[in-house]
Amino acid sequence: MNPTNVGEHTELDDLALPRSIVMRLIKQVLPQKSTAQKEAVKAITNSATLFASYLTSAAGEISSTRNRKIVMPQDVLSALQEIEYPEFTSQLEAHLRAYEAALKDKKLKIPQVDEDKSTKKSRMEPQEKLEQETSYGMEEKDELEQEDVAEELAQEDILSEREDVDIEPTENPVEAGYIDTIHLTDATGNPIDEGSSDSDVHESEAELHESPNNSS
Amino acid sequence: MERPLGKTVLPLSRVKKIIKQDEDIHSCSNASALLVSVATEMFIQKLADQSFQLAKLQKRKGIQYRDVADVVRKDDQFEFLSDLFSL
Repeated sequence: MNPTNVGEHTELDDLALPRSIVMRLIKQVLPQKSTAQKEAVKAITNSATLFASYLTSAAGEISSTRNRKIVMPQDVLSALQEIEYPEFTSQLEAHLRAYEAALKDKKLKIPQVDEDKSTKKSRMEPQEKLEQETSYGMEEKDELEQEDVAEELAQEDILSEREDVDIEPTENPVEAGYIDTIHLTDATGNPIDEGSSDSDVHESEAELHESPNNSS
Repeated sequence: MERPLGKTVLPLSRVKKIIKQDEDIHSCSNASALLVSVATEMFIQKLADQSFQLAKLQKRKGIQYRDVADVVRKDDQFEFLSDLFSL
């Protein structure tokens, strides 16, 4: 009665996604008061690892048929069709657009360098920072910044929801004035902290795609 | 679900580790890793939701292991998981 395949056990454990984050994602789709058995959470966690590698492998194949060595976002999006998860694409496209927009923003602002993992806590000298930047390149830097954001989000998930509600009216003053009831903008716009009206559209789009899933 | 666009709640380093396991992949852009990560989030929620629907059919409020396994068994979309559940 061992629920997990023993052969893949250790490898999957090494690559397992953090339990707490997976748990929170699960709770988001379940009604309040519902629970998830420990074994069920573990099964879902392991499934998630497999899904990631399944998608990666499909994306890799597509990129090689396109004669590229680097897996590009378009390959991932095409791979979703390939592995029969086309319902994810529209939301992922919205994420991609937001990510690219955020990247542009960052490059226009102060190009603050986030250090290598080992030196994350002990800040480096400014000269060393510059060397790091040139040796690792822009891509690596973005990744680390992204990671920091993810960690912050993991800790302040509940807090940020409330903050966004407060911030919302000031972030979109045009919209707040344009639409009579502020409640309307709250309902569609509250999870966005980029504050662009463009991403508001994506978000409501995303909600449309999510809701049938939840009710079915 | 309600999460900021362009960001993932999963640790990107871990997702990249999973990606790097694939020997056919030379390299992967950060945007691609982000998309894999967000897709995985959505996958987790999809699997959880469908498992819960099965639990609900049996008038249970909690997801059990067998619900997850049943989803994998019944739904073609989850067929790639059948080894994991030794089906």
